[in-house]
Order: sequence, then C-alpha cells, then structure tokens
Amino acid sequence: MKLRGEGLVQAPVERVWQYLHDPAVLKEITPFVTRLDRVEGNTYTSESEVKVGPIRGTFRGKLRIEDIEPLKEFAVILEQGSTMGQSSVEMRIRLQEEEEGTRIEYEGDARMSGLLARMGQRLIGSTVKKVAGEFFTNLQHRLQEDWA
Amino acid sequence: MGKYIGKSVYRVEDDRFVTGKGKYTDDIVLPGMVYVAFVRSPYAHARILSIDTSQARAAEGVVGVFTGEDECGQYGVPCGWQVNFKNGETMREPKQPLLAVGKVRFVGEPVAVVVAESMAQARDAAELVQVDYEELPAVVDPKAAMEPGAPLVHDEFPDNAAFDWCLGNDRAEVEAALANAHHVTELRYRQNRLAPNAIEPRSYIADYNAVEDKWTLYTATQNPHLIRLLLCAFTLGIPEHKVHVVSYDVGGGFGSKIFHYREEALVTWLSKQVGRPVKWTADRSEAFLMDCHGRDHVVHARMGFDAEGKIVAVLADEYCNMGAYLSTFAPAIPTYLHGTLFQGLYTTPLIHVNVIAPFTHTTPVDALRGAGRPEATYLLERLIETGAREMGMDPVEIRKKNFIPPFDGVETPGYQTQVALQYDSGNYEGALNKLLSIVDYEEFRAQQEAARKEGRYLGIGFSTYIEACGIAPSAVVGALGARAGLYEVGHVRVQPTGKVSVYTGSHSHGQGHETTFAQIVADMLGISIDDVEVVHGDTEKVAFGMGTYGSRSLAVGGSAIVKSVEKILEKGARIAAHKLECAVEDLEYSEGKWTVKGTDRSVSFGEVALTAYVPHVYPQGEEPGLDFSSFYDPVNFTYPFGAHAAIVEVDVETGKVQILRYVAVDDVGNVINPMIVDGQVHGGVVHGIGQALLEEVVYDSDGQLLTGSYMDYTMPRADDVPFIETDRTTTPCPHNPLGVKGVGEAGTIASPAAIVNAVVDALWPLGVRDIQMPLTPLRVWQAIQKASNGGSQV
Repeated sequence: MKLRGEGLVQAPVERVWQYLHDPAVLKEITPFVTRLDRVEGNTYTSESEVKVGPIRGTFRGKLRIEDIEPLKEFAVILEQGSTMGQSSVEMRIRLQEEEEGTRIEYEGDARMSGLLARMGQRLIGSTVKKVAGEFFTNLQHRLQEDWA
Repeated sequence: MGKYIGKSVYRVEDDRFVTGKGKYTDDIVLPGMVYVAFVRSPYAHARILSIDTSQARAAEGVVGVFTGEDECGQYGVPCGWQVNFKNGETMREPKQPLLAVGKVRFVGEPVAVVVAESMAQARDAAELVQVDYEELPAVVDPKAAMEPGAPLVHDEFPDNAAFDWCLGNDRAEVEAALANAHHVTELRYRQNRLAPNAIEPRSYIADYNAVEDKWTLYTATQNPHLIRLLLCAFTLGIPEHKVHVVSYDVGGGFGSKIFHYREEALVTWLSKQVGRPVKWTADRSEAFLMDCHGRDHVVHARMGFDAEGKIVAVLADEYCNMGAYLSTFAPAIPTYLHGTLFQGLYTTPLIHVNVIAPFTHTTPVDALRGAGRPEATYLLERLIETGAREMGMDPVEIRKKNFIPPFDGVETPGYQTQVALQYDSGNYEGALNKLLSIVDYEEFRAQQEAARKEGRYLGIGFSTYIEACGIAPSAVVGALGARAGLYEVGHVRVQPTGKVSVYTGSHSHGQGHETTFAQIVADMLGISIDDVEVVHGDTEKVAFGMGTYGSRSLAVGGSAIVKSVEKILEKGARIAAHKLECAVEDLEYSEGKWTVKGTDRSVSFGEVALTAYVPHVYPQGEEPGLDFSSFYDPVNFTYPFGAHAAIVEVDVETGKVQILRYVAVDDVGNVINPMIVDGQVHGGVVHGIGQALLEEVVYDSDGQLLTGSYMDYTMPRADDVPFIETDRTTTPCPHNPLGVKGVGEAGTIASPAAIVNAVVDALWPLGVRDIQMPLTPLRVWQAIQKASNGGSQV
C-alpha cells in the first residue's frame, strides 16, 4: 500500500534534521511509540503500543535509516511484528527549506500480513495521515519549546 | 399418501432452535476441560526458521505447547477422492501435516498449538510463541500458478498442478465443430471465490478416557462416521472402535463441515497427551482463514450454434484452484461434480471440458453448496443467453430448441449424456413453461420496452439448470476415484410400546431430518408422528453412515429408512397373522393395523410391537424383537432440474442492481414437506444472490487475505433479497422408493446465472456483454462506462 504526505514545520532545516535523527525526541513525538533504542549506528529497536479500531497490541521490531543525504533526504525501513501480524514500511523522507520553515515530505510503501492485513488494510491510509499530522504538530511544539 | 407425506408439517426441531435450547458443541462444558489456541502463519508462503515456545510454556495456566516437531498425526490429513491426469498419471497429493513442518503454505496455516486452563490464557500464551519466518514469494491465482517460474507450493510438484483432467468427446472433434459452427459465443471470466460462512463456527471437544482407553469427540460436522473413519484409519492411526463421535445440533455447514480438518485431529491427539478434555471453537476470523473456500475457477468457455440456434458443441477450459493442500473432497468438485454436468438440459452432441487444478498459496478449496454444479450451470446458462442475444434470438426460444425431450425413466429410458452421466427422468420444457406462465414473459418485455423509453433499465434473466444429487451409487463413484462408498444406513427400532426410534446415518445441520424422516415413517406405519423419534449424529447410536452433502439425505438416507420400515411391516405381518390365525396373504395393513381382508378382525401395530418383545403367543421359529437396519446404495444419481427467472432494475448512474422479482420453478421429484422444500429454495437462492452480487474472497498478491471479516466480505442481508416466488413441477425419480430427488442446493445452483443474465439483459442496449461476479455497483458502473467509451478501459 502506497503512503504519501507532507507537513510544514516552522524551523530551519538543520534543527529539523537534528530532531529527526534523535531517538529520544522521536520516541517522544511519534504516536504509539514507547521505546526506540539505538543498537548501533543507524539501527534501532522499537516498540509501540497500537490501538486503532480492531488493531491493538504491542508491536516490536527494527528500524533502520539508510541512504542519508544530510539535510535533504533519508530512507526509513521499519519492520515490526505482533500477534496481529507483521508490517514492513519503507519510507523516503525529504526535507526542503522554504520561506516559512522546512517542508517534510514522506513517500513509501507499507506491507502487512496476518490479521493486520485482514482487518487493518482499510484503516492504514487514514491512520498514517492522522499519525503523521500528530507527529508534525508534536515536532513543531518541541522545536518551539526548545528554541523559543 | 398418508396423513403426513406432502404436508407442510411444522419442524419438530424448531421449538428448541427458536427458544435457544439447541445443543451445539460449544455449549458443552466438561469437568477439567482445557482450551486450545492456535498460532497461525501470518504469511502465505514462508520457511519456518525457528519456533521458540519457552515463554509460552512458562505463561500462567499453560498446560502444554506443541509444534510440528511433536509428531502429532505424522500421517497427515488424507484426501478422499483421487482424480488422475488425462495421461493416466496419478493425482499429486501433498502431505497435509496437522501442524506445519518446515514451511507454511497459506495465511492461517496452524504452526503451533497452546493448551491452557482457560480460553483467554491459551490465547495470551499463543501470543508469546515466537516464530521466525523467512518470507517467500507466493502465488494466489490458479492460472498464474501454472505459468513458468511461478513460486512452487510444494517443491516436489514442479508445475503446481494437482492434476490436468478432461472429460467428454474428443477435443479435436469439438474444436472442429466450433470451427464450422454458424456462430460461436465465447466467455472468459472468473467464478468468484466464496467463503462458506456457517453461522456456527467449527467447534471440537475431544475427551480421552484412560480407563477405557477411548476417546469421545464432540464435533460440529456434517458426517460423524466419515470423520471417525478418516481420523482413525488415516490421520491418527488409532482403532476405529476406540473413538466415539458425537455431533448434536450443527448450525449450518454448506459443505464446509464435511471435511476432515486438522484442528479436529489435533484436539483428539492433544486430549490423550494432556489427559484432559480439550476444546477448540473457531472465531470468525479463523473461519475465514481455515474453513475451505468454494468456487474459484478461471474459465474460458465456448459454445457453437447452427443457424437455427441449435447447440453444436461446448468447450470449456478451466483452471480450478485447489488452494495449498487437497481437502477431503476437493479434487472431485471441479471434475466429477462439475465436468459431468456440461450436458445441461440440452441435446448438445459434442462436449469437451478440460480442468487444470493448480495448488496456490491460499486456503484449501472444496465443496461449497452446489459444489461444481453452480459453476457448470453458470457456464452453460451464460453462454446460451449470450449466444441468443448475439444471434438476435429470444433466450426462451433458443432453450426450447435445445431441450432434451421429456422422459420418465420408466416408459421412456433415461438420457445418456456425452459426459458420463445418465439422467433419470425429466421434463425440462414443462418447468420452463410453468415459469413463463408465472412471470408473464410477454408482458414483461412490453414493460421493459416502456421503461427504456423513460431511461430505466429493466432486465430479465433465465437459468434452466440440472444437478446431480443423491450422491451416490458406490460402484460408479468408486470407478471415478472416490475412496469411499456413498450408500446410507437407516435403522428403525420399534420399542415394545409401539414407539419408534429411527437412527439415520445422514446428518442434519439445519435441513429438518427429524421432521421429514418422521413424516415418512409415521405414514408408512400409520401411526402418529409424535410416536416417531429421529436420532442422528452419534456413532454409537447409529450403526454407520456417510452423512449429509450433495442433497443426498432424503434420496439416499430416506430410502434406507424406507427399506427398514418395509422389513418391519413384513415381520409385523407374520406376527399379526399368527395372532389372527390367518395367512399373511389374507392381511392388509392400513391406519396402523393389520386387518383380515373382508372382515372386522384386526390387530394394531402397538399390539404387534408388544408381542414381538413379549413373545408368549408367537410364530414358531420367528425371532423376537422388531428392529431392522438397512444399507441403501442408490443405483444412480438423482437429477433435479428447474427453471428460474430474475427480473432486475439497474441504476445506470450508480451501477446498483435491484432484484425486483425472483421466480423459481423446481422439479425435485416427489415432495415430502413442501415448507421445508420452499425453505431450502429460499436459502439457496439467497446464497446465489450472494455470489452474484456481493460475495468474494480476495487475496492480495502476497497471499494476504483481505476479506477476513464482515467489514470486507459482504453477505446478503434482508434488503438485498426480494420476495422469492416458488413453484414446482413433479417428475418422480424412477429409481428410489420415495421418488425423491433432493433440493438442498438447487437455489444456489440456478440463481447466479439468472441474476447475471438479467443484468446483462438490462444493459445490452448500452453495449454491456459481460460483467464479472460479484456484480457490485462499482463493477456494473465500470462495465457501463467501458461500453459507452467504445470498449476502452475507464
């Protein structure tokens, strides 16, 4: 399933980039995420508590960041599993400095299996949009708190 | 005819059903019972790298955790029917282990099982079983499975084909006839894949008794004895007399509860392992994943006509999905229950059907109500109506030109088809004429014309069908690869007080056996229906049985009961003659008593029954008791037929189809209980409406089931269903004592073609020629847009 969207954060691209690569910040601002620990380099272990309609449970998995082009673009590869099934997401994130701040675009593909695929498929599109919306809002708040 | 046969006697079972007192397997709670939860594959195709059960074993309440390494049922679940390749090569039959070993081959395949003190604990612990998979590419489409380079479902079968089979006349001859035909109609389509959706999910309880070294298996099945046989002789290798199978009330099956499933064998195996009664009941999600699906044929069909509209040849090439493993009856469905029906009601001289049955990474596919026959009817009835319209002929007239003339199987012989069957009796035009008189066809065509002028699109579609029921003559099906005989057992025990217990090997999962069979016995004995009890679903009460499927209960099971009642009447007459001091030939039996002809001297059935058990004054050499069992093996299938019509209106703006009228004229031979027959037709037609308009199992390209709940799999609801008008013609079956043919599947077989024909009839002026089932508003709208854009894709 294709995922795509964008958001605007009122902060310079350097700061946004820094926050997007700080696991402590990411854990705090990303909905559902309860743990995000660096294993080594750009590899992390993750845990999230998901509760969306019939989809609920603890998802555990690995997150990898690749193809880093500083201040411009990177790829996130997330593989998570729970008893509801497995999900893997490959997402490219692009940053672009604009007059009002930094535009963040994401574009990628999500694959699901098990109960997640049977029950969750139709919820994923809207859920990702909602999660992304909250993520951008939280990021904005955090940047304002830290740099105001 | 007596007091009951032919009357709409109220169903005796309904009191308990409508007051919530039915006894279903899941209602049973045994002391010390434990519960199981399955760990199922989230992938359609994957290698199992490791399974870690340590956390699950340590969880609260867990009694045991088992995997495929535990040698449970090392023989695997067997297949009950062998279909060979057309070159004579034996069907390819993969082992179906109880728990996956090494690889998983469809989403939902059981990988491990957790036994715990409570259902909740079992499920919680199942979540702790860590399975490490390496996902592999999957194939879900039956035609794609046969392409070179397609992912293999079983490595030992290099092209995924379970078999490649054909039936009928020489292919070259059929192709030549098509090449020389005046007109050839051609359709390519997919028979949509359906899920069975019985209201009661499958449920099993196994109770191993160490003192007797014996199991009791409570199971929601359509055929308890067959399950016992398969479970004991094949899957688990335990002595058959050591398993007692009980199946009380069963809430619908539609075929899905015929089959022997892994869970059933596993709970039986587990009960001895853990020394406790073990229960499993599927949830709805597991039902979507594990209950065998139906249909799923990819079809290329051709029908050739001469200039007058007579059919000269039919050729069908089909890819019929088997799923990942061969379920109990799976190979027989697209072959012997499908290819054999391509004669339809027509005198077609040349017929050839070729069926390739591939394995795919999907849930196994097997019999679903109609099983092969709805698919055959759909093919013929879509082709003949499309052919008629293409040639500018009337769909009714073209059928009349092609119908096999009436025959009763007594004065006029049965009809030998080009595809192995001999029809027993039929009057096909008679059924269609009755239908036309109800529908008022001329009047409808006038209305249709008027409506089109107002921009409203009405359509009428017909379906004239035949089915092979009363499964089946054992010698015939044996020659066709069945690994069982398909006779039935009827045991009638007259109690000393004249009350009668009837034990039948067929099994009711909603059909009303307790009423219908009691009607027959009460009439034959001239006693009250209240004095007859029908018992089924217990291998220790009923001597043997083959169960209920293929509309066989009345034709085969009912006939076995008739044979036993006849034996009772014969013996009863000898006892009566002794009491009345006359010859047996001097007696006549009616209204429950034997009377010496021409006198008022008589003895009642009750008196004879008592005498049989208190034989103080008794014929010399006669055994006491009044108790007979019979095995009935039919000499032929039965061939119900009929004519159905659907009248629809299509909203061309939204693509929504509304069924305005549905009329069914069925000929099921003699009718014992008209209300039950009507009920079966109603249910069957609704099931067919589901296939035609709403239902479809969908997998994504990775083999993930996308329609795994009622959010995505659409069942017919009350507002999708019109008032269904039913009527009948009666052409008795010439070869069974009741003259009955069977009705359980008729509606499902006839209706999809009638509805799709009606929609195409409505939209023909717009250029629409075919729409793939289910005819959802989207698909209908797309077909209209495509036609109005001159055939280009929207």
